[in-house]
Amino acid sequence: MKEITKSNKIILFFTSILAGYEIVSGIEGYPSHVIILLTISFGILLLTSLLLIFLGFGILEQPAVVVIASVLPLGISSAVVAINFSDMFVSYLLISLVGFLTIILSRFVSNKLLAVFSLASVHAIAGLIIFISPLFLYQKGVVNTSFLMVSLGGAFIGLGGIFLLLLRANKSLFTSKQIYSLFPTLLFFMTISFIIGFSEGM
Amino acid sequence: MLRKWFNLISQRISWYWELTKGYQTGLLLVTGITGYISARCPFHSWSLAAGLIGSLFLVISGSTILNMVYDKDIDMKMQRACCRPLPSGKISSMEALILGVTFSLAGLFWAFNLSIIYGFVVFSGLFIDVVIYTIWLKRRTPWAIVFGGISGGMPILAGRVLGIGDLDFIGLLFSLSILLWIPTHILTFSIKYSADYSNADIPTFFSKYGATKTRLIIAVSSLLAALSIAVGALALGIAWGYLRLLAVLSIGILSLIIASFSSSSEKVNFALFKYASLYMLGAMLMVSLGVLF
Repeated sequence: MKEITKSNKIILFFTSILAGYEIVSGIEGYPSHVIILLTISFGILLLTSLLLIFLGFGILEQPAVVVIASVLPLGISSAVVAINFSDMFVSYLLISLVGFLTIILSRFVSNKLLAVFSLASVHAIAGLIIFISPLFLYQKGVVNTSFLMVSLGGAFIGLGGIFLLLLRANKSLFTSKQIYSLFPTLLFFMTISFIIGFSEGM
Repeated sequence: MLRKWFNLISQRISWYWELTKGYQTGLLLVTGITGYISARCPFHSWSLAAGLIGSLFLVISGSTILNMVYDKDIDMKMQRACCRPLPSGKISSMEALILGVTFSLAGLFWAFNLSIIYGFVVFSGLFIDVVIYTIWLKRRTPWAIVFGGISGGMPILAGRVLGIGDLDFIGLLFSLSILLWIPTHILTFSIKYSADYSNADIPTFFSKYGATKTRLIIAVSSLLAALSIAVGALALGIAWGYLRLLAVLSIGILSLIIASFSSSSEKVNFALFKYASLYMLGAMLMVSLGVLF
């Protein structure tokens, strides 16, 4: 099941509109380096939605897409760090770049375990930062309730990633048809969560 | 009896609509409106805005109908075009010719009434499209698409000219961006329907220079089109938010071009064709919104 239903195309279209809106006006108040990171992240959400509409779910299995998709959690987590833990931003950005380069390089070596390990560790670290930081910051009273939506967005990314990983490893409880049909909805709610979190949360 | 007449008239209108290629005409009309908005002219002049939309619609539709009349024999040989109202015999050539000439003349009359220089640009678009592109070059050389591109760039230039009252660098730059975008639109299409074009003896880049060179031309022209739009948008001073989105959309088209190089698949090629239209629509929207807000 690689083709996309009409209703899923509509969901993806709205996802791209929302991501486009966020790029244009939702992140205006942030410092320029955060704007760049969030533009990259929402840009990936926008382009992923459009490419899924035009090319179907088959693109999710392309190696290049796997690499580019890892920029989304890295971009969002770097933005979270830049906004709230500015002292650690440069160090985290370097770690992110090293992680990203490792993912790219691991595609060229025959050791599959290294490729999976690098991908999983980068996603896990970035995912944890996206999920835990807003909870921690909310508890400290640094951010308002809306910023918790970033955590929710992180949970959606994690969920999508786990589903796709299990599917690729042939260990999924669900069929590819079920997972793929759920994917656009997951992308839509992920985008909405991040938009509310970053636009209203600070 | 009334119902029968109503059905007959609505059927005719739907065939006429098909003759005007509503989607393509709509996209060109959007570029013209964008050119007009980009001039930051006082938008309370609704009569001028309505004049622009009306005259451009009539001339673009008119030239499309005239092209269809001239290309009827080609369309009859093409699988994807043989069901159009003219080759299928639903509408006679004379009827379509009268419609095309009426639309074109009415649009030109309206355009020259609005402004002489605007009328001249609109007339140039019509002349280059019908006479130079369709009648003279289309059946002779694949390079005809350059002239197709020039005529495609006329609506945005015309809109800008009507708004500011003169030709300027930004208008020419936007016009150039459409000219450079046209190869992505036409060449991806000609790759998908290469058999049709071959049946009709229409020379295309794909048939003359092969897939790799055609994709290279698509890549270079798309890159230059994206750059032209970006420079034009920067020169207009539109807000950074719109420029950011423009950059993201441009990265999308470049990614698809890279993908089409590496996979050569039919699906990626057609996705590029569809994305290119969406890209142009998005770019026009960004420029318009960026100027208005």
